[in-house]
Amino acid sequence: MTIKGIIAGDASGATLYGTPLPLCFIGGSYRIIDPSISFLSRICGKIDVVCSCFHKEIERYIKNHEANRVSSLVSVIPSGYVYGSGKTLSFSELIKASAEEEDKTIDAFAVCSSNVVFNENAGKIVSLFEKHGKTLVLSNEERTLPFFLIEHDLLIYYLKKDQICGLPDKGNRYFAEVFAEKVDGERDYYDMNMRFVNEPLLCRGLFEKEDDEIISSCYNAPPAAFGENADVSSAVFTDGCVINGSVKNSVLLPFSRIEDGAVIKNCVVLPGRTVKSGEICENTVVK
Amino acid sequence: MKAQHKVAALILAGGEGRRLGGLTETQAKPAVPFAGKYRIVDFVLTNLGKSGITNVGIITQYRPFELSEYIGNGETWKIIASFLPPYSTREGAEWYKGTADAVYRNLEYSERKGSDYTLIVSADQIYSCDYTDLLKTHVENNADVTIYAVKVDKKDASRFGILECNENGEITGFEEKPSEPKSDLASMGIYVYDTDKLREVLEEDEKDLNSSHDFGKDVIPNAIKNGKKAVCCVYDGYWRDVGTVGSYLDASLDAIEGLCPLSGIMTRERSYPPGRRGDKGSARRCISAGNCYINGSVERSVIGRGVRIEEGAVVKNSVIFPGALIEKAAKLDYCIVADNSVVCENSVLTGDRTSFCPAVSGAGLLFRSESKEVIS
Repeated sequence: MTIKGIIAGDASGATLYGTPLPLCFIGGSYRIIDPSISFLSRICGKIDVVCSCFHKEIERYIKNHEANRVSSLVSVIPSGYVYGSGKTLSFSELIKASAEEEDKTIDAFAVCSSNVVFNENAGKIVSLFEKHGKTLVLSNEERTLPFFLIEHDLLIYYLKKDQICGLPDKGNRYFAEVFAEKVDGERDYYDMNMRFVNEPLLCRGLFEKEDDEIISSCYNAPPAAFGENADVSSAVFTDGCVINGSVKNSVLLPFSRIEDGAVIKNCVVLPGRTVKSGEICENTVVK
Repeated sequence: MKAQHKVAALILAGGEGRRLGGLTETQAKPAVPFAGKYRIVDFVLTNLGKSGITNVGIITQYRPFELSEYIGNGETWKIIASFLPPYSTREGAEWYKGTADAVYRNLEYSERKGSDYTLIVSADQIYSCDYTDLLKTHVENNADVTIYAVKVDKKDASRFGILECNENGEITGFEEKPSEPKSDLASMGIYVYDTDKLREVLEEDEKDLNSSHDFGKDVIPNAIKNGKKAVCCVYDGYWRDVGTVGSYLDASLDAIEGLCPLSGIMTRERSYPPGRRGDKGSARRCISAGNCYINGSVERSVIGRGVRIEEGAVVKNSVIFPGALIEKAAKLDYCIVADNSVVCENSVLTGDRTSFCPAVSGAGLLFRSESKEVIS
């Protein structure tokens, strides 16, 4: 079965702390868009990330993505958004732009949003789809996830009738056993990151599966450096961090610096931020 | 300079690296991991890419597979890499007899690239530079050969090829590893030649039956003795040759102290999960690459990718290569633990500054330095 992946890269133009939402770091070295790319890369021969805005930023990130290492699997399709005009395309318009390009060689489309963090056995999903046909929607016990598989002709049909938004309600549902989180705002973002510290086994199960691991894009940075006065426990850290203060139960994103005498507890420290000597941060995102 | 002249580089990467002991048992010296996420060769490749020198021939001989797989086409460093192993001709087939012989037999690479100048570099040094100054010095002085040099401590000078220069930067004397060094200016083993002049020099050296066909021992001293214009260009940044286990450990400890330039060094890697510190873990004065899990105590050490240090383990003054597992309550001091090795629970491995514990790469075995006992 030939499946094309479509990721709605950024339909809303949302940013978090000045970064396009799909490109925000989670759990140290991943970006929010990585789970979608990773999952689709296992079942699709081609993936379009369709964006109404931030396509340049997303394209720059995708260029060096692990999924594109061997061949150009993932492409970014800007959908004609004019910066400053205020016009953004809807989710269905974005999907339409990508789907209508394809000829009949595509049997089905796998469509998902870029801001849902999930992972599932790709082979299992495809065999379920082949068995039950037409459409398959991924959901867990809490919610329907913005991910579905749909036959080529059916997607075109729904697109023509402009019924794509209601589609998840029409499909066969497959309940994912792993967690899946949608990251929509600051609270979600903090909670999602803290799960990497508070529920490391769960997150490792989700992100570091032997055959279904989440892949990302490499960035060039020296290893994390721990100074003479570093006191770090229960923490996630990444290349480029420089730590010389006290860090407990926190996530340190790339190039963050914790100076001597600074205290960090239950925090997410954003990339490149410095916590200065004497500062105390607790239960927050350090901006 | 970058746009004006065509330059090709030849990297000497074929040596056995015997002085690195077990670290080079299964791989060439330039492929040995360094500072948690790099390999030694990353430094010279980054420098070449940064200098705009894209045509890079890598002369290999000893265990080249890991190195050639790692470098690939060189894209990571913005170079076009070609591997140059020994080859046969109608006259027969031979191993490279020395550094000069290796360059002589591959000079065609540089000529085929139409290069005006050939830069000869080693692959076992830790430094960050742009070769533009070196090339500029060579061209402006219309030199026969230009040598990159660095000031070293006088007490260490007898380990290097030592240069004597006049006030114009012209080299007036060269001694390889002198017992009583006349200056503190050491050759970095990096040379620039006009490509056509290099052929003449190397053809002469090939004919010399007394030559060991080595740049440091034969070609450079002969050039100076025969009145060729040899010029020195002084490099003033961090530089360390990592040809021995002791110097490798020194450079690793320098990386921990932030003396060694890691920022901007390119390495070829895939994406990895982040590093984690467990609730029993502590780390001071160390560097630690991603995907490692530390739940023991680490001090003044380099922790590579994917390393696991279990509860109660103590690691001091050591370098742990990627993928190694240090089991519960193991104690390591002045050790180098090879990639994917396992140090078993409660093991005590203690070396010292001059005789620390080397390891066998990838075999899951570890040697104790004192007794050579194998611990699996």
